[in-house]
Amino acid sequence: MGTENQKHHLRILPSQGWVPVSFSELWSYRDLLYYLVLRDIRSTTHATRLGFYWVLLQPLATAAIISVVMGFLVKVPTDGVPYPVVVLSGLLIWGYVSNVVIRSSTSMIANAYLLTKVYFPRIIIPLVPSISGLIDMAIHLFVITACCFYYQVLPQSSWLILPFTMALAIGIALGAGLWVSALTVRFRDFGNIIPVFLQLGMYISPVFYPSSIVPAHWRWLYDMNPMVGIIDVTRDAIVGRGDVQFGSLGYPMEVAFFLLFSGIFYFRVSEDIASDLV
Amino acid sequence: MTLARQGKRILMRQPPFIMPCEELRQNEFLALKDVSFEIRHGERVGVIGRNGAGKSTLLKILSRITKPTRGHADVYGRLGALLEVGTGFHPELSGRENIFLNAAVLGLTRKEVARRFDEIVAFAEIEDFLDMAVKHYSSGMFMRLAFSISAHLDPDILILDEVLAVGDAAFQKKCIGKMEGVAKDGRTVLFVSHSIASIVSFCDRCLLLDNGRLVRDGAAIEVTEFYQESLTAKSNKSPDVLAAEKNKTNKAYFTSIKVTPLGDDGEPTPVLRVGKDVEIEATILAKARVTENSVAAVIWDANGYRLIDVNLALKEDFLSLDKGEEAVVRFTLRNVLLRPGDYRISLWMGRRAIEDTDMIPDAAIFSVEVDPRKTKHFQIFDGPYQCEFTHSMEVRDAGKDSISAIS
Repeated sequence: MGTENQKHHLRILPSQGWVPVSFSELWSYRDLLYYLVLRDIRSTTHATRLGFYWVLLQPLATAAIISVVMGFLVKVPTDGVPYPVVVLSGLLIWGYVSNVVIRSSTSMIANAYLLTKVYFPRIIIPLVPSISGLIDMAIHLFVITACCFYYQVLPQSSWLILPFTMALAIGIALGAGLWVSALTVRFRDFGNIIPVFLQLGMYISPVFYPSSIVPAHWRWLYDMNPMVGIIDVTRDAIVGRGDVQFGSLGYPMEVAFFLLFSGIFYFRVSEDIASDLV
Repeated sequence: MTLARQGKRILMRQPPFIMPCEELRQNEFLALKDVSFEIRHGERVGVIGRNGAGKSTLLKILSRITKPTRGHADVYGRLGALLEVGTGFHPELSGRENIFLNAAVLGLTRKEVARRFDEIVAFAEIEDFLDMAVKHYSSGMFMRLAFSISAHLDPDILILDEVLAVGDAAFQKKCIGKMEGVAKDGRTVLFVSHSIASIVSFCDRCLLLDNGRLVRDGAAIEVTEFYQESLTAKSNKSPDVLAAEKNKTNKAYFTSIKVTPLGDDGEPTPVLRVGKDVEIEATILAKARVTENSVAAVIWDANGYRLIDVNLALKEDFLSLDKGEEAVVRFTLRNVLLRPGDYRISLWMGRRAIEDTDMIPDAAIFSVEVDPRKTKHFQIFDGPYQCEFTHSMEVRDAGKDSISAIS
């Protein structure tokens, strides 16, 4: 029994302000993360009749509806690109980010019973939507590929930039998700504000229109949205335009880093009292 | 291994900004104040206290769900806490998947769970239902599975928060057996409960919390006795009975009743424990002459069953009073074999089948507590029985005030 004494010593202390994330601890809880993601994916598709097919249907249905409304009725100009491709490429990025942010905001509250009963690194909770959203994004990419083939817009070398733009989207989504999950615990109003905010975001981001239709004198304001750069480059890369503006990824990258680091900071500082507030 | 903590305080209210505040605001209170103790490897320590004393907060700090405001704790060895069973169970997942999920929530890796998987399933007796979605389980199966997972954690230090109050009797026995097994292995156990009997039978040492402070720390038997007495002291009022409306018509009536538990030495004690003696003293005032009356004290349980009947007729010693006289009748009940619980005493006076001089159905309420010294070997039988008792009677002239009240 004596040898055990030195094995595992834990010191429980009051809040120390900001403490860096312990990645070794996170790694030891990787199985929990795996099962929480599994649970997340299962619960959305399990009980429904269509089950897994919903994951395919959703982007298709959304794209179809928007194509009809915006493409045929409103007739958004697209520089010669088939409209469904425009929409799907926009939704690829926006859909992921929006989905993750919304689910992150309620993530802490939804897992209240876990938070108040057992210890685990709290930061796992906002990680779950970011990871389970990836599945959707991957499926979405598959749908885009199929769509592209249909429209004879073939995959090219420019598609190689896609993993990078998707990584940026993940960074922004995760950073925003961390902020939002911690904020919603303290101020429940965020749970209601976020969906509205995201709705607005969808209109000011080039989700179903190309950035080219934005008037030049408004571009300075428009470009403050980090999603603009990411979606534009994604779309251009998918379509295979020669002059993809890689430079416009610089600003979103800064935003992603900022959101991630500040998000981790704010989350860590808030997590100690989360179990009391949730 | 030791588990130590010094002076701790918890702020229970959220500070407005990120940094925690030092001063308490209006709706804040200290859940724990200066609680310090040390627990050695292999000790079995109980934690008791009234609701709101800070027991759950203490456990939350130790299991890292909440952070202390001040102070620190040193934990040597792996700590497993069972604050609730079934944490993290998801209805859509199968039993098998939930085992892994729940275990992961509790801190086990997949490999560790796989190793114990068969034991967990066997203990829970759900071999045939492993791949069924948990939402289809009966509540009994659910509880068994949840407890089984928690029970196989194998931590060095185990903290339990009244988790045993789940499931049917057969399962509870299993749980207790498992707990005993864990304790026999020499692991440290910290057990929070309201059940004095479980604490005493399972723990050697006990901590008593009251309003956030550690009030007692010592041998389980002594601390639990002290706790019982402090509870009774808070709620004890000597029952007085003045039946105002009967004054006018009764020839004689009860004016007061006093219930005094007695210790082994015959002296009054604050708490009535199983198997001990109790003295019931009733005072009677006579407005008119009463002859050959019997006086009876009857004890009823909470369900309305009549359990004990002691009266003068059994001793063939009857009471006669002249107008203006007062009698004090004392029954000393020996070896009262009532189970722990609440009971009611009713008083009766009169001549059987001839007249009822006075009757008070709710003269007093008293409770019987577990005797911490006797939880292991004591056999209690329930139901009515003829309690052994002695009695005494004293007749005297009532004071001036009482006489003027009559006329």
